[in-house]
Amino acid sequence: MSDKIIESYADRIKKVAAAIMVANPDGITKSSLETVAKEINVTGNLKVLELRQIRSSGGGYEVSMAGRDFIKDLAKHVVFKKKTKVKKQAEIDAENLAALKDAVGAFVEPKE
Amino acid sequence: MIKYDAMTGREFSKFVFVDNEDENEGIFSRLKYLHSSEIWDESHFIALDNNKVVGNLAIQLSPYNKAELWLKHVTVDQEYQNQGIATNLAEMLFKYLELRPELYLLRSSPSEMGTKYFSGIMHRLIIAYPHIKVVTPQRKY
Repeated sequence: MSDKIIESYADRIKKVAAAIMVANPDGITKSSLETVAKEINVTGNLKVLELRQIRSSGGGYEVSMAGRDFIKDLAKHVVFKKKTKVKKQAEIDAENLAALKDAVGAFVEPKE
Repeated sequence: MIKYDAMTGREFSKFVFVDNEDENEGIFSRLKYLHSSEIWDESHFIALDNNKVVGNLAIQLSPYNKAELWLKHVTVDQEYQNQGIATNLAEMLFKYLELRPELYLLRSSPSEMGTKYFSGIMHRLIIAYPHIKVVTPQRKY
């Protein structure tokens, strides 16, 4: 394969690994695999290595140990963005209140 | 003398219904458009005569769009109308929007009263604060 194709596959694999990690950072579950499947569909009918390790089994999925390790290895190569801190409602209210109070302070009633 | 303040819904509820209950008895009949079920979700600019709330302007951050601020209602006690209270409350709203440039204001569709008394105030403020983005919902016929 040319370098360009390999590069393209690498990008796609990164996306897949990222999708797994987003869906379930602690392990691989049915829903994370569904996310992967969705991602694969989005990126094109990609038959990359990891899918060979994942096969449908009855109502769910099975992942071979080799597949599990493979996906975990992939994930190591993905640089994840730090999670944005989710503000608590109390923090939002406090910020909002400060701006409300400042607005009242900034208002000067026109003199007759 | 009328004083002005701002409160979150929780503070407003406590202020009106716990701390100054006597002064604010019958507030829902005096302040048309103020609804008990919505107070908690709103923020309020309020006009006070001593501790009696005689006017309020309610806003709410949209739960669907974090950049959108809803203007819910403006209401002034009938005995205190024609003193510029609604104008002052609306100007505070524009000052607030200046401090929160990430927000734009979505006006609610005005009622007949709103069109009669408040549209002119909004129109003047929109001209005075051209950098504030105000969106008026389109009427659907």
